[in-house]
Amino acid sequence: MALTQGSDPIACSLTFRDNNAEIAQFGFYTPNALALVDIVQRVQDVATAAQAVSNASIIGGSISIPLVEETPAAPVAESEVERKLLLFGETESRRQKVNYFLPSPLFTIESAGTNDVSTANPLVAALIDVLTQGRLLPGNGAVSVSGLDVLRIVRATIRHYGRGN
Amino acid sequence: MDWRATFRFVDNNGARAHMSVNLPETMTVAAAISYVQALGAAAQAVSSASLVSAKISSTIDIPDAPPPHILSDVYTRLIVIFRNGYEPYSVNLPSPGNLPFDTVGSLRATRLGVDKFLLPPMQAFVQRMSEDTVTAWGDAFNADNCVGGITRGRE
Repeated sequence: MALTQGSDPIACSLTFRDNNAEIAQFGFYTPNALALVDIVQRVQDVATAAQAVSNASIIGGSISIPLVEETPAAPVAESEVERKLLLFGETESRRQKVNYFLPSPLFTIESAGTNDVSTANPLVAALIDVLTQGRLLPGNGAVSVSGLDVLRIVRATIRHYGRGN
Repeated sequence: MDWRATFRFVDNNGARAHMSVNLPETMTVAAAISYVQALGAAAQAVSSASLVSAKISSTIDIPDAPPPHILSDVYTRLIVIFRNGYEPYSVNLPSPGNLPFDTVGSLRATRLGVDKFLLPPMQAFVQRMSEDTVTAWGDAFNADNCVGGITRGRE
């Protein structure tokens, strides 16, 4: 059981807008053996070349790499995606904050009498470790905010965003 | 520019929700996928909902784009067909503008031949496509073996 992408090339598109505000997409592919930043550069280079040929305006581009879970685990009976595990993270300077919302956290990670969840819970700690792979090695953080590594998850709590309440 | 990884979960009622994280742009695609797989597994271990898919994506700003020309029309397309091995591959560019071979009138899929790509912007576009992009199957283009034409989708 794992998310898989395969060896397909990366799908990219440019969005064009003409004088009547009609929108059209121009799709193409780049090799997948590239750094993400190099894919962006290629899309920008193609956009420059395409804009020189088109008299519509290129208003943006996008890149998408889909992954699918071939054999997803069945959701348990009490699962409810409006219930979220919130993880509060921060960068080295502590000025940049970021929140992550995991849908439908397990009831077994809860503590009685509080909405907060112990970050020492083994499952929660494992998730935090993956989110902040570089927290023991500053500069190698796996996730980022404004280009900065998220080094710490400072708090975990559960909130319910109920439908209509 | 940050890249975004989005994980989609489905609960027992069929309701859907997402978890998103940003990824550093210095990651390779392979590293990003590996990371998304690891994070997906860790997230699934904490969630009672079902992780069904994920997506790595980025939106790209195109600075300094000129405003659309008064005659621009995205339903008019420039088709470039690259004859690549057994399977030709085509790309179609919206609103190709006043290209010299578009003066005949309502041409529809007029076959032009590679020797008609006389304008430097056209040559640069074809060259760029052949150098920076691949077919949907991952094969390289051959800029020396292509034809082009204009289609009008809204007449």
